[in-house]
Amino acid sequence: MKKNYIYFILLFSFFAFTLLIVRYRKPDVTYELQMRQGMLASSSEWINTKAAIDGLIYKVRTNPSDKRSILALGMAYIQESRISGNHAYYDNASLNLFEKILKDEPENFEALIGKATVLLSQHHFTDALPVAELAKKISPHSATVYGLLTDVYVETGNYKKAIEMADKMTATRPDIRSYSRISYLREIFGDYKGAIDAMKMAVDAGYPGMEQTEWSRQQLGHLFENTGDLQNAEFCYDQSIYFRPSFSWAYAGKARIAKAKGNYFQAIEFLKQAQGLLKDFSFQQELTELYRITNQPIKAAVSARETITLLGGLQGNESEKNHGHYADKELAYACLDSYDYMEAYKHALIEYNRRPDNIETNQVLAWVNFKLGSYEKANNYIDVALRTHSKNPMLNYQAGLIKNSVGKQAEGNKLIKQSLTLNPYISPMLRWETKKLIASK
Amino acid sequence: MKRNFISIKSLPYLLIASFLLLSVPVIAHTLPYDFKSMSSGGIGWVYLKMGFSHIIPLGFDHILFILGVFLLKPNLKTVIWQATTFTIAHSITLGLAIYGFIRPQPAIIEPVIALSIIFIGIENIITKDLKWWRLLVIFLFGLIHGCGFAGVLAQAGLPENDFLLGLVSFNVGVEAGQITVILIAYFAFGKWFADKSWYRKGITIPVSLCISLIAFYWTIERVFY
Repeated sequence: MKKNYIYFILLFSFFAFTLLIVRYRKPDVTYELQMRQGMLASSSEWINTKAAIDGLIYKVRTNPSDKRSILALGMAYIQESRISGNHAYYDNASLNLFEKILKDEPENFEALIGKATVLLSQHHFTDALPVAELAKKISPHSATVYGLLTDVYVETGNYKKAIEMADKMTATRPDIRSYSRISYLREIFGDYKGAIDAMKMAVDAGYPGMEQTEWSRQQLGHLFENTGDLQNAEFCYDQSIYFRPSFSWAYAGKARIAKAKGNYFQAIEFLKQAQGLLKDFSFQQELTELYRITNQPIKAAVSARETITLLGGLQGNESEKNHGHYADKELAYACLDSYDYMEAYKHALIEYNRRPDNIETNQVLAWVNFKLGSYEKANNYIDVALRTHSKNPMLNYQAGLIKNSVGKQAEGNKLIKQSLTLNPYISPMLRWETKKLIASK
Repeated sequence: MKRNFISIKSLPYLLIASFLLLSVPVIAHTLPYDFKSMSSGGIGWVYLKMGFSHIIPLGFDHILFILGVFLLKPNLKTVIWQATTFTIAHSITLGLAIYGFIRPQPAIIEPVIALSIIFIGIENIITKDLKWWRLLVIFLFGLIHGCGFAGVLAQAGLPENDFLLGLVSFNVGVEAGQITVILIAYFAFGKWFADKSWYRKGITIPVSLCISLIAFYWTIERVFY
């Protein structure tokens, strides 16, 4: 009887200590790998990724001071974030992992690179600058650091510094990452031919089928699109699908081609295919436009709200703690699609205050002001947006409309003509905007 | 009287001491094989070996657990029954974890495995007879140890086209490893000394105490370090 009593105490102690261990060693939820959905989950690449990440998670949980595995897991999550599109989750997860290392080693180079990469992905551009600068101090000959600094300066509108950094990056290590940055800078400065050449070099420098290579290839397609070369653009998207069948951005590209050719329902189908692979707000945004073009107002309204929900999800509760995504520029456009102009203005202004020198930020604020009827203000902002002489057809078309609205018809018409000469397939929605403006005059 | 350096009674202590020296659990498993070009038999053999090696020589904690189970009543039939119960239980959680139904956290599972070894050691000290509930306790601990095995397989991965084969072979390897430990213990001392009047005081209690102390060390190490 007495022995049974002792046995009961032993069993009770076991459960009590187990509970204590569970409480004390409560796992860090940021380590969890999220299951992919749909076609993304059926690729063999996912099986390998899952096995590799599960192995790293196991190592990190078994030995929380294993810095190598923590770093590798953080980097793996950055890549998974790009592939799955689940930025809200993975960016936070990887940031936590890098912070864990930086807490003990504030000058750990790899962790600084990882942290700056995540901050850029979250659009925390000004926060990324000191982190990248510190990494540069530690390793002044690293091409990766110059790549990060290029991104920071582009996004904060310091284009002169961005060019300087991109040149250093390319001189240090000419590869897919440096060529694609050069391409983007050339595009910003209105050199589409040079941008296409650089992006071609980026694609050639990558291994076909890798996410980075196909990303560059679809960027090349987009450049062809912006110059009205639909044939080459479509070829790029088809190639991306051939090399990486689960690459959603290529389907979105095919949708834009179909839209440009007037095949709107085919475009909707392509976008639905892209959405099946990746839940990205931009696909939803394009769907909204296509529903409007095809005269489906209810679907368009629902889709517009859905875009806002998707972008709201990006920011999440974490935005308050400065760890979420800044998506105000995108939210401003999404609110315009929902005809909520005041909300759009609020978001455009928030973004503008974060980076007042960036041309895209000025473009969105100009466009929102135009929609609100504040034409003079719109004109001021669009002048800043045009300062790099970008030939982006959308920017020039919007600028043309704004110039017209403030009575600068000659300048406005020149910009619209320039836009249509470069890309005759400009959005039908913008053309309607033009008709509306002419009718109101 | 001339004194032997190593008496028969001190052998278990030496055995336990060697575990202390090897008390860092080995968890790194990599499989440098191209499974696509291997036959099913070849793949099964690879995972069987991995399951076996996770007990002998790498699974010091599992060896101590099996040894603890063996010590109380060291006759083969009883012990193999208990080991089979343990295997059934760990197969359940291992399967559930590998198929993704449960996601065991090594940070919790590893210290609890050590706790289960302390439990078995103390139980051997406080009780003389094998009670019916021992099987239930072993089943429960088997479930916990299965979660630990899952970590090994998660690290190594399973072949895409022979998932079940890999899983079953790994389990068979683990079972083979356990039976080997039991047989070694049986022929090392169980067969010869189980019926001796001093067996409990001379072997069961001191060895169980050592097992519990080692497991206590592991618990502390796995919780705090």
